[in-house]
Amino acid sequence: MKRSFWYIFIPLIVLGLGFGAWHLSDEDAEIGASVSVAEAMGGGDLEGYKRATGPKEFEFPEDHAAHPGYKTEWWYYTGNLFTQEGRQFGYQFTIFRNQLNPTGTEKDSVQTDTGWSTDQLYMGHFAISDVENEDHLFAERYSRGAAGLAGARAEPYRIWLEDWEIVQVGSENATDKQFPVHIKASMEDGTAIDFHINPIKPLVLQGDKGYDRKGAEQGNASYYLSFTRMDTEGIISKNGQKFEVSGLSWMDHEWSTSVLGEAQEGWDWFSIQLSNGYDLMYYQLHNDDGSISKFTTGSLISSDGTKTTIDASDVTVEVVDRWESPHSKAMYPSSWKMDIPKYNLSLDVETQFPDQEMDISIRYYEGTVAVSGRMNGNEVDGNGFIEMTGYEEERSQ
Amino acid sequence: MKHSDTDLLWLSSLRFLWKHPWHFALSILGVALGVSVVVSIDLSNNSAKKAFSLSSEAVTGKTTHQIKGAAETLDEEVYRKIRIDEKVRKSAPVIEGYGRIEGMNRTFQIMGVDPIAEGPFRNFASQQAGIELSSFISGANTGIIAKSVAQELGASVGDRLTVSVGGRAYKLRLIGTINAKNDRSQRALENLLVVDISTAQRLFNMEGQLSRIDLILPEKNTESIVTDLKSTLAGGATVNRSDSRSETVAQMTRAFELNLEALSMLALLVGMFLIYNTMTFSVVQRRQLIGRLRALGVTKKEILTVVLKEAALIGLIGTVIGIISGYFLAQVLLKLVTQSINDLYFVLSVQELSIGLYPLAKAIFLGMGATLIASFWPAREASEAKVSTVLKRSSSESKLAGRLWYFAGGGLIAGLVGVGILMIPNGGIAAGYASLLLLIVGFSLMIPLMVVGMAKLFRPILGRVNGLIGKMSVRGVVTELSRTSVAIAALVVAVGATVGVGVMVDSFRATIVSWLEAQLQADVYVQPPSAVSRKADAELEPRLVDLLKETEGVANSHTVRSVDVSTNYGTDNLVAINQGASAQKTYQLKKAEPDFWQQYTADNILMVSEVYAYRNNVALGDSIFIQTDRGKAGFQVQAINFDYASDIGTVTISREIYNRYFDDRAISGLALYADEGLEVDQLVERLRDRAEGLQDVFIRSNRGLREASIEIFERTFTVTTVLRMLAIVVAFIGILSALMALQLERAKEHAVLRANGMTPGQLWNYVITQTGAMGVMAGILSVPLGILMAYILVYVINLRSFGWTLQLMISPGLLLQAIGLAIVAALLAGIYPSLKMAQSNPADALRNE
Amino acid sequence: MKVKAHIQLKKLTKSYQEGSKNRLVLDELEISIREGEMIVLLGRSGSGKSTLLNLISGIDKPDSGEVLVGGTDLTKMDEKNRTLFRRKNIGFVFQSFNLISTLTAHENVLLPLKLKGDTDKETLGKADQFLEEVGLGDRFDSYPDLLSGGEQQRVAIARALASEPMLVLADEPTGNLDYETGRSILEILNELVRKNGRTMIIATHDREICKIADRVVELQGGKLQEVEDTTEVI
Repeated sequence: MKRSFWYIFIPLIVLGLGFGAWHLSDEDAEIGASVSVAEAMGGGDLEGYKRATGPKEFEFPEDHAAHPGYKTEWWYYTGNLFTQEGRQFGYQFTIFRNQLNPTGTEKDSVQTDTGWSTDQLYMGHFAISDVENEDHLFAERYSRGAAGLAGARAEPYRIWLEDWEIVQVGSENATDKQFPVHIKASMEDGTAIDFHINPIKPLVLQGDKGYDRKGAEQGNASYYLSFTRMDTEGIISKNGQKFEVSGLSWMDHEWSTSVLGEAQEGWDWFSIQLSNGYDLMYYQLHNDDGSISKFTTGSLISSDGTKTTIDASDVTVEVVDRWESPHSKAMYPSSWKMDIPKYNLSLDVETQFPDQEMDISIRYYEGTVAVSGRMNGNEVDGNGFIEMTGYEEERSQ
Repeated sequence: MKHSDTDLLWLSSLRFLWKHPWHFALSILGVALGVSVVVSIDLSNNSAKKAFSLSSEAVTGKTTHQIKGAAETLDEEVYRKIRIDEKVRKSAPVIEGYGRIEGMNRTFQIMGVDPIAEGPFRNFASQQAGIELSSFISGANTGIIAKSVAQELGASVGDRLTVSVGGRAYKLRLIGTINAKNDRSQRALENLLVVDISTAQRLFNMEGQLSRIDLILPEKNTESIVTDLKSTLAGGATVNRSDSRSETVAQMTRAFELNLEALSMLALLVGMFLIYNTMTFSVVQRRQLIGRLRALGVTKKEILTVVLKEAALIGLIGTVIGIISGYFLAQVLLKLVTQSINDLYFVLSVQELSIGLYPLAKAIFLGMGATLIASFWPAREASEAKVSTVLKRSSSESKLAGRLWYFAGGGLIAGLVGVGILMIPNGGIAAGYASLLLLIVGFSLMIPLMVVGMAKLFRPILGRVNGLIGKMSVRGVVTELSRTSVAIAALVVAVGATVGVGVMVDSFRATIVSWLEAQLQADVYVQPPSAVSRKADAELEPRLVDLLKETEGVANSHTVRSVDVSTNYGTDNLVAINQGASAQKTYQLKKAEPDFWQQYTADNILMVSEVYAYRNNVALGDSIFIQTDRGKAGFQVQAINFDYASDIGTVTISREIYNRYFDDRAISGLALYADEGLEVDQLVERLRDRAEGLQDVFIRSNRGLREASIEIFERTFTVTTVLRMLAIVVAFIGILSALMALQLERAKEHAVLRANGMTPGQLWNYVITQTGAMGVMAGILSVPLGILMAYILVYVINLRSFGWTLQLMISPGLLLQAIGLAIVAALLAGIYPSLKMAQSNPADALRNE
Repeated sequence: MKVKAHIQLKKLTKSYQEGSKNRLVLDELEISIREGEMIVLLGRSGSGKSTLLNLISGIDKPDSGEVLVGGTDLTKMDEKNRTLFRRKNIGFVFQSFNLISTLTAHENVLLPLKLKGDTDKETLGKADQFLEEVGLGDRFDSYPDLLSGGEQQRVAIARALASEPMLVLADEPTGNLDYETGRSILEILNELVRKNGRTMIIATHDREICKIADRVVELQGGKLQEVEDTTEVI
């Protein structure tokens, strides 16, 4: 066939193939989408929620379980554990409860809290700090607080998020208020914990008999209970290895609707277990101008569980060193000098290794710290945890 | 030196085409029509398939495996077990169903999900995509739809939509819109309403139940993980690969699609005849021109090449036009195809044609290929002709006349081979179509002989009616047999195809009507509105059932439950009937063990439909293993019944047996018998009053349901009917073009007749009589061919595609219509040439070129 | 090298099947023609003139005998090679002109050149030149149906000669033309053929044409006879 023909034919074929290829290229496109909603997250509106407005009588075991009606609640377990050879691991295991709507107020609500429908959203954070390898592993998960997937039950005590759970175990001298628990959690890569935890000091009611003011405004407060020293033993699995460990854990259970005041930006929260049997809880809320809020407070728990409240004016905390997170670019303090002259206590606190940032949906720092110093003229040392929030300069909303 | 670079032969060809625009246009039309039908069927089939796979891709997401229950549902406890005890992190609960959104004339897929578990599966339904959990999971009826759908509805976030599911209406608040990332996602998501699991459980009345659990299992050790999971699943729950569902669907519609494709190929075949016809004319007309070229030293090969090149040009233009018109035609067909799929198989809504590379390539291949094949013989004839004879007057007439019997003999052989292929047992659908093609070709080869025979018969008759002109007209048909017989063959095939398909549809209809007559024994039928018309997939509310049963005037009742279950043959439709031995009046059995009806309520025996037996090659005495809530259970096939409602087939068991194996008490349909002496319509009124305000259901009399069923049947055959109409159009245009070309070609002869004193009126008479005679011949010959095709379509193709036994039903009206079509088109074809001749000066035509 | 005759037909026999009868058209016909010779072939209608021309041009094949044109035996060639030989060496002028209706006058003349594959300007220029010479320099772009019979035949002559053939065959070139036109066509043909030194065979029943011939032969009973005295014949 002659050229003139191909002049017509070839462009048509090319056109056809091109067209086809263009369509085919679309074939591989992944199905994807985002969802847009009209209203912004209703975080600001606290109307309809219960508020912590003053000290109350606690009832156990009920108050160990969830307090629906308050917007947020958490069960916070941290601890420092050692193998027989002395290899150190820190762990954090927290279950958060988050109420999405004030109870029974969701518009068009047909029936609430039956089957799968619920206002309760549970979130779990779990981290292991391998001090020897300076390796910090963490995981986060969510679930609705319904359909048996997640919840916080009093009798028998069980706080769970799917297969992550803190569950009461039988013990002869257990009371409704104080009992041993079993914690189980695992990450997708197999990193896991499996601990028996037994409080060896009585429950501490933090703040004013468990009522802990955090801001000037009425209701900017929480109910705050702690077991500051608990014997812990069990197994940590990491990289396919199992480590038999033992040591001390700390538990905070806190619920509130609104904690931080408008000007408050974040906090540094120390929980320290000293070698002389004392435990120290101290947090300082910092304002957005960099100053320390006056609602900064703490407590010193003696070996027998006697609590002494510490005020902001009693304490000076000086940041000795800082570390810049490669993930968030936040400049976190990494070393402190803490003085509480009133109790003759002077401590150097330092993170066991820098990178213990929880780089998850809500970024914060939760790290094991080494402590050394003097108390009442004697040398002391110890371990603890530091939690820091509000260090990201420009937090993306 | 204007054309110094141009090929003069090609130029000459182009100018010839240009100077015969009618001819040129008709050739192109022939190709275009054929291609257009093929393209449109392909595109609409493909778009339906694509839309299905897209929506199933959207719904499946990245799921690799699915856990499903024995019947329609799965206890949600299984999900807790899988996720918490078995620690399968990548697992997500799903509830699937259908419903309508008020204001949108299509069925939506409603998908209930847990957005928190969705992340790894379907990002559009996940927490991460931005679904506001506080309004989504907290117990209110809320949901999200694609942004485009919201815009179409005129709804914005916060508005309330009315969603109706199985006859119940719900208000649902739109709390967000899904913004698709790309065009493909857009199409995949536009029929989806995403709601929370809790909302879905309410909408579908599935408290405590799920439709399935989606899993993403790691690629390695999949088998052992699946085995582990299986061992933990109780009852009839199973783990399967997620793609098995698409496979099932693809299998379901395969026969349906194949049939449509075959019909479109038939249209292309008719188109090929048209091309052959027009190309033959094109060559015959130029016989002298070709002779001159040959005398000047143009080789055979050059002639062959130039004619084929011409054909390629016609093919190309025709193909391009065919593709473009096919695209538009496909938009119409798409609706029909979708409708049929919705009626027959599953819910599908397609908003847009998707153009694949394959249909386009196929169209180009077929369009160009058919044209080149069809023009090869005319082209070869042109090149083979001896120069010396070509320079004289055509001698091919005597050549054909001498070969009439050879042609007929060849035709007979082709036909016999075709019959032989039919005889091959289990020959398959392709063999059926192959023999159909051979029979068509065989029949066409016999046409010249039959035309000569008919002409002998016609001559005296027309002579008596129309005198000399009548005789001359018929004589003209025979003297130019090489041209007329091709034209007539084209018409016969085209008209025959319309007869064949028409008879097939009629046969189908007649069979179904008589079957429905027997099947519908009760007086009143109650059904919930269902997403798929010919399948019961919704449930009646129990209290409604009780209420209706207790209505005054109801003498008796029975119920039907229809569910999809998995068996050793795949996913099958299981029907449970609670009728006792009286069911034997309702069901017409093709084959059965003795005492089937006496035993079916007590034993593990069942009845399969004819289609089911054919598809799965199941015979009496065989066993079917059904996944039940009690695990896998075997049932023996003891009866095969006629059933034209499903082309996938159904398995029927007694409700007593069903209840033993399934924890499902739902009812899909209710049949009621009226008290003696009570008017059925009166009872229907009464029942409707009682049902008022409850579930919105269809309460129909026996007659009403029959009419509704036939209406659905006709709807599913609309595509076929449309294709038949297209074939008629192709045939009509074919007749028109062939005969018109024939008459235009004879302009010179007509001029001679005029010069010799024939008046314009007489010439008109002559032309019309001649085309009319050819039309009559074509019409008459198309009848036996049409019936032959119908026979194969009904007894071979349909049986092999679906397994139905149909009664062949030939209505005289259809045959008369075919003959009428041929004659009317033939007469119309005569009008233009005779008009042209009557108006023009004969001297022009007589002039030497 | 002109020892041999330019065109030589040896014992040429051709018969046609007519129903059950076999009609002998050419019967062991013999003739030799020299280069540049102008032969007029006389014969009644149906005497076999066209058949003979078809055999010489290779359009048709004889039952037996040889057709030697310029030393090539056409009877020994297949269809394709005969066609190729024809396109190179033989020019045609037909009674019914046989122009290609879909090509212009100019293109008709160009066609044989193109078929031969001549594409250089000089050769193609011949087409123009010949068309000028037959007096149609102003009708280059006219289609045949707009030309009169005489004009069409002049185009045909230009076409026959433009490709510089060895041999020009003319079959009743004046048969479809009136007397006057016929004369002028003959004159043009004679002039151009002789000017270009071509060999030519004109088949006709018109004895007046014999005037331009170098030699006149008559086809009778399947054999050729030399007609010595043309005036006598007229």
